[in-house]
Amino acid sequence: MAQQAPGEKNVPIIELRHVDKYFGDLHVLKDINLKVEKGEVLVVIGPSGSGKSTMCRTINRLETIDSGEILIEGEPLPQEGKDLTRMRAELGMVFQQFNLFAHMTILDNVTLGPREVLGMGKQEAESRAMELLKRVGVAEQAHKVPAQLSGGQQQRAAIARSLAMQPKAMMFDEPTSALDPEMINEVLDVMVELARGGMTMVVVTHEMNFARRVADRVVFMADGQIVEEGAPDEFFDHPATQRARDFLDSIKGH
Amino acid sequence: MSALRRAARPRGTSMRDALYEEPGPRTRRKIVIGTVLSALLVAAGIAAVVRQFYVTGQLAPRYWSFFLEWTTWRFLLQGLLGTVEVAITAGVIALVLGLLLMLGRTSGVAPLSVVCRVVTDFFRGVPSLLLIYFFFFVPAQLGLKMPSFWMLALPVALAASGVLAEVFRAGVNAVPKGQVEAAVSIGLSPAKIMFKIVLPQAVRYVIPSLIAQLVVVVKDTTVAYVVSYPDLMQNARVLITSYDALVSMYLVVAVIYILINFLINKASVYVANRTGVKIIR
Amino acid sequence: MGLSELLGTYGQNYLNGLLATWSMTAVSFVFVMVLAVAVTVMRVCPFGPLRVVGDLYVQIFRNIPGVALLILIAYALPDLKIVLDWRTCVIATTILLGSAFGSENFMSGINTIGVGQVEAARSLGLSFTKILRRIVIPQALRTTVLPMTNLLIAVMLTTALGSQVPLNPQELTGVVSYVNTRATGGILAFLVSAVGYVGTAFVISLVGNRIDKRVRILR
Repeated sequence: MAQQAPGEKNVPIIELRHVDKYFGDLHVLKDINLKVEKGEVLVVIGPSGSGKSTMCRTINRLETIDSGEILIEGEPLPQEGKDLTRMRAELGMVFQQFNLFAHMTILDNVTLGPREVLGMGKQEAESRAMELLKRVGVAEQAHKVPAQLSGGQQQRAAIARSLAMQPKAMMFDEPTSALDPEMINEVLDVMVELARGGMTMVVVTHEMNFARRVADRVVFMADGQIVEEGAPDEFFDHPATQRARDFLDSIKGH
Repeated sequence: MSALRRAARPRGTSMRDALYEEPGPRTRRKIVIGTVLSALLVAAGIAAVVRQFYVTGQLAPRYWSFFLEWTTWRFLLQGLLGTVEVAITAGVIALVLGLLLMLGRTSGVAPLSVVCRVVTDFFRGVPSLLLIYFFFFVPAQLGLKMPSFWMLALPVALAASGVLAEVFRAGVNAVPKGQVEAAVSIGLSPAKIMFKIVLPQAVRYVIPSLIAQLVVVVKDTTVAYVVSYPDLMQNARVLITSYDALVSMYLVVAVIYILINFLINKASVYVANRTGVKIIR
Repeated sequence: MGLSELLGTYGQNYLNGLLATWSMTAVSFVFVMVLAVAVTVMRVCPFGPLRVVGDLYVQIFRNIPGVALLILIAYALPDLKIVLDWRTCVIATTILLGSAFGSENFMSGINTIGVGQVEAARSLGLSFTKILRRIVIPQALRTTVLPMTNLLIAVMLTTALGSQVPLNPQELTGVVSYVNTRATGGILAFLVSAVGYVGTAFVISLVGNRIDKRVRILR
């Protein structure tokens, strides 16, 4: 584990410096600079195609970058091998499509990481998994397979799977976008509780109420750029840029 | 779209690429080394094959020069025409039979449905060669004189009809339930529902699978020599005796068959992609 | 010829034929699976040349007619100084054909898994080999039970190619043509062999369906 050197207390957990990324000719991330401090909840919003998901995925190298730097606790994000898997184990990731392992029970989904990556014993991993499942409210489903659960339950189980690795920070890539409306809140509630517990979070979402209520900072992205960032009340009530105003107007109608 | 043009990765590419992540520098070096080594290995394999041909004299001009002559190809093409004729005939018969078997099985009339099911499973469960021998021996034993064309076309058709019946049935099952419910609600009879609503849609679903099944039919016709029907393989055998060039001729014929079937499969995939349906095998 | 006369005279031939069909099917299928795994590994490996060879292998052997391949192996290879006994020729043909389809089954098994699960495993910090061992291979195996059951039946039917070479003992299809060149076997002579095939296929798909029901992955 990357130990924090003494006197370096204020190193951000996640830092992006001048990050650029292309999909072919398409410039999807343009000179992104971003810091996420320990305990901070950062909410990233923006129109679809703005690059916010891609940015989120670069943080644990699910997407590579073409130039710039990504630092995790001041250390450059490794490019491969054991260093990379170790770093990933310390960062949680929650996906839009849940991505639970279809052939395993919920319990096995949650214990897989601790057992295979952290080398934890079966008993300990399972008792901790049950605790987490209880915490997110799906303990009763522990012995079912993902397809037997509702979307909301699957996403909460996926959050438990991430938490089981005791991550230093968690990324949420549009965690409620694939859910039926009545299930969105059960997932958001879990996330609110996590935030209150001091988890460092990067959340890509369209849930503006969540952003206003929970975010320490809101980042607004458009066309691959960070257009504006600030405290949620400030941003939502007095957006500084025309792009942000247009975006906020466009979603108000819904 | 430029985003789609990007060759390698982004989300939604084929699984065999998705298994790997974008390599880092060390991994990239390993891949380069592995690629070079495997290229050498493949080259060595090809060299070994060519060498075996060379040392056994199979590369001698006399085994290959007659492929430069038009008469050779004309005779092979005649054979190919025989293959096409018998394959298409068998295919059409199989289509009709398969459809009838499926209709019988899904008719809801218990005895008919059982019979059709047994017949379907029977033809799916026996090798086409057994059926071909049947038509080779049995009609003759019963005093019937059957042309070799039909001794081949009928068994191949029967073998395919079992599979096609299942393909049709899968197509019928793929028609959304709401279609039938809507038809029932406007008072159509079961027969009308099948022929006016379900079947037309089911056929659209199974067209790529029907094309793919043509490959099986073409393959099955290659035993035409059993009944002495002049197809591509049989004509090749004639050429082999006249040129005494077994290896080269059989290789060329195999390549022709592979290309034909490859193209049929490609056509099937093309139609499937264009209409957005899955190929049922 | 009645059934009792047929079986009285040729019963032993049919029995030997059934056993020959079964044993060639079993031996072939074991190698089909081994080769299918090997070819699939080549097709998904990161080395371009091996991928091309793997793809080519599948295209060749799923498109070549069985008889054409058998003839190449049984009659053309000896001219290249590679002589195999008849039974080996039939089994080799069946293995080559079957493994191409087996690899296709594995590939579509892999394709049903979806990128998302692999990314989720990656995010947990699982290494490539662990992702293969815990996520990809178990799911690919469990989704291919039914296709592989059908392949086993297809492999059995392919061993009927044995009737095209002088096998000893003959397999089920060869027995029928043997009987009919000696006697007027009629429909019955064929039905006996057909029952052997259909019955075996029935048992295979029964077992296959049962296994599939137990391991099927809900999606």
